[in-house]
Amino acid sequence: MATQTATLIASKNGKPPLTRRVRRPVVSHVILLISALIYAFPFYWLVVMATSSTSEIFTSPPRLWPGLSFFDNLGVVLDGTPFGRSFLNSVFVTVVSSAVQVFFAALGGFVFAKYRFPGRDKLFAILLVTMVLPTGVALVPTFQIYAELGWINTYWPLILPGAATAFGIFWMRQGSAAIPDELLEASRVDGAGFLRVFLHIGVPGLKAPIAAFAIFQIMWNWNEYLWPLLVLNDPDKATLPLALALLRGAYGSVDYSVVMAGTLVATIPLVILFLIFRRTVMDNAAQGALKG
Amino acid sequence: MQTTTERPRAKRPAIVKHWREYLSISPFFILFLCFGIVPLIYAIQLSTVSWNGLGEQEFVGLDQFKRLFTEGEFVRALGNTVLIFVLGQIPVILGALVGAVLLSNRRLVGRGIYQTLFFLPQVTSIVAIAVIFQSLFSRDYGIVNRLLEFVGIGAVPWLNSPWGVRIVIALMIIWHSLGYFMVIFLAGLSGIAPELYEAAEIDGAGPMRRFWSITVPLLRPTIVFVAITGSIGGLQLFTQPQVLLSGGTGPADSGLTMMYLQVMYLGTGSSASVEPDLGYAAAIGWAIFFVLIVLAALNSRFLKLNREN
Repeated sequence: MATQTATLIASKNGKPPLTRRVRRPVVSHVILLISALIYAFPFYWLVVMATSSTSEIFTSPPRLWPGLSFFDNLGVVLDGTPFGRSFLNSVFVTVVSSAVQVFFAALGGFVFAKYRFPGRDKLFAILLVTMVLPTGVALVPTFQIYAELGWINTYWPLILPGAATAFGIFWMRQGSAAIPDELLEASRVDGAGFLRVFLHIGVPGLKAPIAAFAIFQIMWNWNEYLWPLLVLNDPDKATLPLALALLRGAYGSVDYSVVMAGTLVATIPLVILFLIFRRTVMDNAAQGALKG
Repeated sequence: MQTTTERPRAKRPAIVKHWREYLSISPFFILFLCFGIVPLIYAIQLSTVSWNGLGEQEFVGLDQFKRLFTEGEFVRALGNTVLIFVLGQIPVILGALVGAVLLSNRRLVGRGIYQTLFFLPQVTSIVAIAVIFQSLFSRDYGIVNRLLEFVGIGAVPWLNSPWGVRIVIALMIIWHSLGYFMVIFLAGLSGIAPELYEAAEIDGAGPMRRFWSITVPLLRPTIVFVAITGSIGGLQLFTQPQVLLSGGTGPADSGLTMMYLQVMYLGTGSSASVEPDLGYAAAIGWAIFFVLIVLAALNSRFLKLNREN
C-alpha cells in the first residue's frame, strides 16, 4: 500500500523525494521477504530431504542443510521401481498430447479468424459455451466409454479426448487477428493452397500464442493425475505423478528420503522450463485468465 | 456471415465448397460430442441404476439421488469441500491482493524474483506438493511440529485430527495458487489510473484508505473473477486429499470431498473399502455438475455486467 505512493510520486516528477524512496519500500520489503522465505521453505526442505539419508532426516535436532546422499537415494528409486520408465512415459505423453493440442488449436483458431463460411459465428458461439460447461465431472460414463473402447492401460484417454480444446481454439483465434489479411491474399495469389497458407502464413504469424499455449499445455499434461490414476493400472505404464504416489506408498514408511529424491526429480523439469520461459508464462497467465 | 450467392457457380452446398474449413474445426466438435455430451447422456441412464460395474444393472429410479441426502456421506463430502474451500480461498485471495499491491511498484528491488518465487508452486505437480506437505506436517518428525516444539507450543496432530487435515489441505491450496492469482491481480492493477491515487492523496487519504476506497472497488471485477475461477477448481478438489491421506479419507472423513467420493464409488483410486456403485457415482457426478453450472451462470452473468459497465 505504501508503495503505491512511491509509484505515484515517481510517475509525477520522474524521481521520488529522497525520504520516500528510502523509507517507504522498507515495509513492503519486510512483508515480501518474510512471505518469500515461508514460500521457498517447502522447496528448500524438499532439497534437504532428497539429499539426506533417512537416518539423517530423523536425527534430533534435525539437520537444516542439504546432504550428499541424493544419488544414493535416486539409485534406490531407479533400482527398486520403474521410476525411470515412468519418466519416459511422462515425456512421451506430454510431448504427444501437447503437440496435438497445439496443432488443432492453431488450425482451428486460424480458420475461425481468417476464413468465411456459413455458420462460422454460430459454431464459434457454441464453442464458447462449451468452455463453461463442466462436462469433466461425469467420471463414470467417461470411464465406461474408455473401457468399452479398450483404452484401459493405454495412453489414448490422456491424448485423444483433449486433443482439440475450446480454450486453445479461442486463444489462437485471438492471436490470428494480428495476422494481416493481405499476407493471406498475397500467398493465395502465389498459388498457395489451404494447408500451405496455414503452414507458411498462419503458423509463423501465431508464433507467440503457440509458444505460450504449448508451455501451458506441457505443464498441464506433465502434472495430470486424475485420469492416469483411473485408467493406468499397470505400473509399467504409469506417468510420473502416478509413479510418485506409488513410490510414496512403497517407501513412505521405510525410506522417506527416497520418496523425496523421486519427488525432486519429477518436479525439476517443469521448474527449469518455467524459469526459462518465466515472462511468457506469467504475462500470458494473466491475459488468458482475463480474456477467458 | 452468410456468404451470398452472387454467381450461379456458388450454388454448390457450403459443406462441399468449404470442406477444408469445416474439416479444420471439426476435431473439437467431434471430440466434444463423444467425450463431453455422450457421457452426460450416458450419465442420465447410469444414475437410475445400481451397478457394481460387473454384474447386472438394477433399475432403482431416483433412489441414487435420494441417497445423496439420506446417507450422511455425500452431505459430509459437500460440507468438507465447502469448508476446505473457504479455509483456503479467502486467505489466498486476500494474500494475493496484498502481494500484488506491494509488487505493483515497478521500482521495487527484486520484484521479478518475488513474482517468480510466488509463481513457482503453480508449476509443481499437486502430487509432489501433497507428498512434501505430508512430510512437513507429519506428527513426530515433521519439521513444522519440531519447530512448534522448539518454540514451546508443542506438537499438533495435523494429519490425525479433522481440523488439522482440512487446514493442511487449505494450506496446500494457498501455496499452490497464490502466485497465479497475484499475476492476475497485477494485470488488473495496471489498469487503474495513477491519477486516482494522486487525487486521493492530495485529499489526505492514507494508504489503508486508498486501498479500501480505490484499489478494492476498482479491482472488484477481477476479484470476483478470481473467486469464481477458484471455486470452480475448489469444488472439484480431489488430488490434494487423495495423495495427502494416502488413499484414505482422514480422521472422521475430514478429507472426503465430492470428487473423491465419486472416485471411491467408481471403485478405483482409493484404499477405502466401499462396494463400487457406478449408479451412485454417476448421481454424485450430477450433483457436482449442477453446483458448477450455477457457478458458471453466475460467472457469465457477472462478465456480462462488467462489459456493460
